[in-house]
Amino acid sequence: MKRLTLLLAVIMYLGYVAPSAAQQQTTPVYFYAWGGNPTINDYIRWAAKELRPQGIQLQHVKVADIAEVVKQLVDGQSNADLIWINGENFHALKEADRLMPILTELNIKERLNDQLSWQSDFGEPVADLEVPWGVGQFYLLTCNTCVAGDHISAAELLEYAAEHPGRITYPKPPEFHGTTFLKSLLLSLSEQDEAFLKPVDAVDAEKLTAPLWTYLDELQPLLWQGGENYPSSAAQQLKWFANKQLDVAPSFNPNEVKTLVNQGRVPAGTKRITLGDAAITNSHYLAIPKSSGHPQAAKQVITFFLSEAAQRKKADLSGWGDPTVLDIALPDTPAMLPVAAEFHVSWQTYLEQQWQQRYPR
Amino acid sequence: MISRMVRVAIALLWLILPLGVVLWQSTTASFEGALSDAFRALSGSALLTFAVTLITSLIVLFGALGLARGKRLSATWASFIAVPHVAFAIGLLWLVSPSGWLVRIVDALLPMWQGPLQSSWLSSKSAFTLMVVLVLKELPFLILMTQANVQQMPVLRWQQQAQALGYSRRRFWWLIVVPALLRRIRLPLYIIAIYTVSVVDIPLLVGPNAPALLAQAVFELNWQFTSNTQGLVHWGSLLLVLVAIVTLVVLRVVEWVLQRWLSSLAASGKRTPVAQTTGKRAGLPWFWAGLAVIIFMSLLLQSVQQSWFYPSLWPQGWQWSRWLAEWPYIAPLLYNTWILAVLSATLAWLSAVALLEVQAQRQQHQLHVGWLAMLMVPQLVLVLGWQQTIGPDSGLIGLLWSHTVFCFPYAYLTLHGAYHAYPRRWLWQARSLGYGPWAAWFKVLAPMLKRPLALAWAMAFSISVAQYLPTQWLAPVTHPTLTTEAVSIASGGDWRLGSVYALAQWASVWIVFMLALWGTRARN
Amino acid sequence: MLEINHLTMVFKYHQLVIPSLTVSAGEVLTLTGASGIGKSSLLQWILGVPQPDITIEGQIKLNGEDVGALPIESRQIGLVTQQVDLFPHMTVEQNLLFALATKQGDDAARHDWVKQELDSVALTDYATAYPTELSGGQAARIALLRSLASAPKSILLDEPFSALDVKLRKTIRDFTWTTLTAASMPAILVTHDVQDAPGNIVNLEDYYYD
Repeated sequence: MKRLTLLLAVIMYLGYVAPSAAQQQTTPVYFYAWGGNPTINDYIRWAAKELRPQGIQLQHVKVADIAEVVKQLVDGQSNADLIWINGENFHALKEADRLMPILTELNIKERLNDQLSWQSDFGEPVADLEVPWGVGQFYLLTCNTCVAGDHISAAELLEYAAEHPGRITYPKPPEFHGTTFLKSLLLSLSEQDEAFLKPVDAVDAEKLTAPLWTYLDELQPLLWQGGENYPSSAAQQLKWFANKQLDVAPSFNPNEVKTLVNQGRVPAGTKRITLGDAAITNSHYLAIPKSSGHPQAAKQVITFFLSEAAQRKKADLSGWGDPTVLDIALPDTPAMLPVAAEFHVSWQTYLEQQWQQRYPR
Repeated sequence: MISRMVRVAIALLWLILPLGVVLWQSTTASFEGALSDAFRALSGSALLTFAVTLITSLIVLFGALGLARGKRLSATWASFIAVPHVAFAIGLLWLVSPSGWLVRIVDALLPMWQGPLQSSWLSSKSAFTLMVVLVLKELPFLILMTQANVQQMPVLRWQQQAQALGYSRRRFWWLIVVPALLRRIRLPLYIIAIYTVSVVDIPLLVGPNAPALLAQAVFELNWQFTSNTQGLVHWGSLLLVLVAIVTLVVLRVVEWVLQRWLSSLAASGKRTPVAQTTGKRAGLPWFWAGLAVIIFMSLLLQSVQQSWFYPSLWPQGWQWSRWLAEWPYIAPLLYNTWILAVLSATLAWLSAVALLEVQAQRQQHQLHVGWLAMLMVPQLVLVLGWQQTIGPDSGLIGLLWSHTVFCFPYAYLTLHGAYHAYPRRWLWQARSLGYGPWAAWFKVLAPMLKRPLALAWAMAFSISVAQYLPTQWLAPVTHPTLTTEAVSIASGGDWRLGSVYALAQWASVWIVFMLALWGTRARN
Repeated sequence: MLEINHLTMVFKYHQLVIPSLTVSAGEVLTLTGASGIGKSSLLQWILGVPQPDITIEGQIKLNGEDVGALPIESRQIGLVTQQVDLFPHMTVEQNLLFALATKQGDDAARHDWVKQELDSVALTDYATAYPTELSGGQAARIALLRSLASAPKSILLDEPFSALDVKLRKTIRDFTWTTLTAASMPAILVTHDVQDAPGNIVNLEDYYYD
């Protein structure tokens, strides 16, 4: 009995001492990034391995929604060194003055591909506070035999839903795929695309969005489970799509149609279609909070992420497949989809609130 | 004197301080946003939570009352209760979801029918699925508690009396034993109800989200950063307490009605012809064991598959290396989970043993419900208060404290029966031979009670491993565990990887239970 | 010599007031009385077990020393019970050694002593057996030996023969009195069966008050 307790005490002491000893030499960088996609997680793990020799321990703190970190930062209670953000999250942090200016300092601007309009994040100027990391384009995955052609208008989607009730759905807003689904529908239904680039208060939002709500009212009973329940994430919808419970799944990564088949997460015979004529396109960014405990190391991490090697690996179709922001040619990647500009950031909250008030009843 | 110090210390650490902090926070909290807004936003969730909790609790109650009649579930089956919820949910869903394995079998057997099921009650995300998972998980717990209570009653003698009076065994059970049981299993039933009101990780995985269950809704709102959501969070937690209270009141009323009805039936003197009733109906140990095995197989297959699309019955591709590739990431989580669980289980166990010993010395053999107070408050309300006091990233001490607060009442509950049934005579005998109180305890009581003592520790360990909310809200960055990781991966949809973590979680608990049982096996 | 002086025991519904009880060395005092009158409680109090439900005042003197303030393990008073209470997780030998452990003497001497004791009751072969393997009579003998192994100054017997069948009772009774006489210490016996009593009998009902 006494020997057992002694042994236990020794084990626990070693257990405590050993990890802290191992961590002695490296600087940790707490990277708060969405953890909902395993391929992205694997990429970040690869990056962590590459950064080890530089004395940096990149810790991927997986969050379900980056909004939670925004809240912590605004409250002043966070240990985040590096965050992956865009859109309304960036806007909130910029307003609360929580971000460190880094873009000019890191000398990356010259290498970036200006055609991607990365200088404006959901209509909000980047202002040196964040560095573009990759590109997102919203589209739908569907099976080869489900829909003909490479795009589907909102009206056609409604027809499809009427013919195949219970096969269409979208992630529940405020999940960002779900909100962007609403935006795409809106673009397809409305004639005045430019209006959405302006803040919500600057235009007659009610009038502009009226067609969307009418449309959704018609669509709702035709949705999966009659609109009583929604997938809580794009990944969840993807799983059901792969198992033939649904006919569509949204995605922000234009190359995902290839990468998912490679990983065995969707069956071969999946293709991509845009909702509307063009795909809402935005960039996603990396930023360093002012309260970061290891800003130097975080800057090193960003420099690494924006290196050509890292960007190539990121765009590699056997892994993540996220398009690069650098002005380099990557021959194997599929072409980008036709680009539709992202809405102004204020539309995000507006649409989310309006949707949550109306549905579900 | 010592006994008072012990009781005060334990109460202070695991009851008064934690609860006090929450109460203080709630009085200084900002209730921004009108009540009417909160009501509009959350009333659907509140009603849904009330309905789900009530229905689940009633099913579990009647199920336990009916199934406890048969053979006793032994400790081995009891280790089934310790299947962590996440593992259970993922494994079960793989079987019964619309594109799940059972449906695939049907599809294979009926060539005309083309699945998967279009609309199904057991869809991957619905209130019904949630209730099925909860019922299957909680029923064994109540059956065990019921059987433990039955053991304490002279049921066999009563049965002989009743049979001599012409009543069948089944009628005897319902008219005589059940009324006596209802009062005794009130407490475990309430614990189950409060747990159901407050559970977050299972609804995240398989529950509905339009509207979502209240605890889940408040949990998700707490991640948002606009100020009016904070007001919603506070109103929401108040609403949660309200739902909990109302549920308990309704359950009490149901119990009262049932008692009245049963006693009027008994007074009517009606008997059924004896030939009609069947023999013993077992507590269905084979059902639970079978379920555990199937779920285990399901998790195992999922964890090594490459792709496994509908409608194939067997994975189409294998990825055996997944476990190996994932190991460097599982290892630190395994370490975190174990350290936390070992420490909190030990603290909880020591407190429970000290408390029980002190109570036994004063010959207080009743279960003092007050010590279980932390199980009667929805966990979300408690953890929210703690998070607002010590911050969302407090490190090991705060997390350890929060885990121990929940492990302690379970350790106390599990150990109480055996500890107080133990005749103190043994200790007097040892002491009359000249051994001091500590020596007598170690040399006589501990060896004789080693199985209940070991199982209580194992139970506390498994409670700590299964904790999701405290870890997620108090130290998700510095101290992630297998459970938080499993939920976050599973809710991301990749159940292949999620199964790996769920299995690691389950294995941890199972190993500890097996060690406890094997280490304390009887000599012959 | 064991003396109890000025004893009052206040139970829930009755009281016992006993001015004085004396048991000399080698004597066995028998306590009888109706069920629930407090015979076992009295024994437990003498042993030193706290009785929270009963208010007890009194003085216990063992060989002239007041032991009332001492805990159980220091009073050197032995106990033999109806249920025998041989520790089930120890063998017969270990039970005896356990009782002997507080005495001096090296391992060999102690083992020899145990062997001797077992020889004296013809149970040498049962040294490594567990109590569950013993018959009622065998267990009762070993229990008495064990209680005496710690060399107590006095011994209490709480209905030690009630669980034995009629034939065995007489044998064990005789064995007990022979052994106790040889040990020459005061003993108090609680029993329902007056036939058990070898010496003076005190009926607690004589001290009963409402």
